[in-house]
Amino acid sequence: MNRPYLIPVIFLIIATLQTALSPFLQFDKIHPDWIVVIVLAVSLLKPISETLIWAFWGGLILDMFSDTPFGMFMVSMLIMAYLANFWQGRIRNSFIFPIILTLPYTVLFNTTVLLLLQIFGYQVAWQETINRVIFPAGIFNLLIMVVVYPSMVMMQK
Amino acid sequence: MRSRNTLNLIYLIAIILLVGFGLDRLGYIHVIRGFIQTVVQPAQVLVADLFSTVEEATTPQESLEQLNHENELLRFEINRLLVENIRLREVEQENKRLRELLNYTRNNADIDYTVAAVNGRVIGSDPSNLIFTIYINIGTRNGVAKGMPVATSRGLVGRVSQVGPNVAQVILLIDPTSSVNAIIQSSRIHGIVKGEIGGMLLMENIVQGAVVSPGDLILTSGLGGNFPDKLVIGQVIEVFQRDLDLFQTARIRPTVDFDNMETVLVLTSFEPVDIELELFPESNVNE
Repeated sequence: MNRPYLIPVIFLIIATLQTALSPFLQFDKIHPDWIVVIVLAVSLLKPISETLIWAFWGGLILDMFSDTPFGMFMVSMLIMAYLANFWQGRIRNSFIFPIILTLPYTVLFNTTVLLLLQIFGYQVAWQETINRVIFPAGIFNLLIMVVVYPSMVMMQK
Repeated sequence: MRSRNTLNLIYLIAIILLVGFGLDRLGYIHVIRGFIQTVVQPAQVLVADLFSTVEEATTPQESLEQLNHENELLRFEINRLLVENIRLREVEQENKRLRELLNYTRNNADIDYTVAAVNGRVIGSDPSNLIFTIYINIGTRNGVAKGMPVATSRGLVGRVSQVGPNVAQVILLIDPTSSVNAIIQSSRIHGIVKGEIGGMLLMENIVQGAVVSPGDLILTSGLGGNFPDKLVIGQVIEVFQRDLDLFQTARIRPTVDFDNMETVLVLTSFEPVDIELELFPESNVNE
């Protein structure tokens, strides 16, 4: 990105929209994670240094909007982005594969958050949360990726 | 590691993370969060208003009005019956206790739900699916302070966790950080109701031998000074009892519909008590 200072502004706008619209866009208490999906799309398209910058700002903004110990979302986002970046350059001609990858990587992101929450003393019902929150959220995010990934590919061109 | 620049970037992020974590422990991150929330609050209100208007406009007018009317009547009836039911049960319990212990006749046993309250409209929720907080469009300018309980006519919603001039963040009862001292209405047994990630409620520390059954109503006990007593929390739907355990646990279904909250009441007349500060003021001053 030519103007890296725009990244926090973009995420701030998205986070504001996400917090304001999530009560309307939710389905069975689950709403889409726009920031996670965007960071994931960037990770699949951009080099590692740029990916880490996007993941850093995305995680930081989520940390600022959540009443949780600082850094939880940032660490989870960085781990997810770093691992997803493995596919960068390897899946250039595929549109389906990056979309399918959304499910395991958002599951990884949310599971890392959950793990950190437990480390910080939160009570976690793992099975219930994985079944009722993490997998449905992964599928919701996968559906969003159908729009986000092609849009980002087009913007990159 | 792919290059020196990437390595430097990772070091920089790690330093920022450590500094941020330290600042969070010292309480400074709350100030930054409060500032950000105050800045984005007008935009949140605008977007929420806009979306509400669009949603209303795209719903067929006739059916919307009819449904709204029916919905309003039903909600009113449910709330009235719920409150009346609880009030009657409380009156019955109190009557029984007074007869048994003090040989008193029933005397003025109404529950006082008429507290000073301010209406707050829900303008947003946590961006994550794992944390349950909401933002409301009132703050210190409306007399809201940190720790104040938040409720609807159906029961307890949570407590104010952060507050700015025009916006407040409310930790919902179902959030995993939430913990409320509670009582089972029928048996007067105490326990602690905690939120679970996944949006469920668990009542823990129920003594073995206590009779807990699905359908039992759970109210706030007032112990600990963080919440007023007799606010409805929910109903028992499942009991986990094993002879090996010290305590029983019950799964609770909250009476509040957390998915469809539009307006909440902040109980501004209730001042939470910091028991540690009250009992040991000197040790807290020294810290």
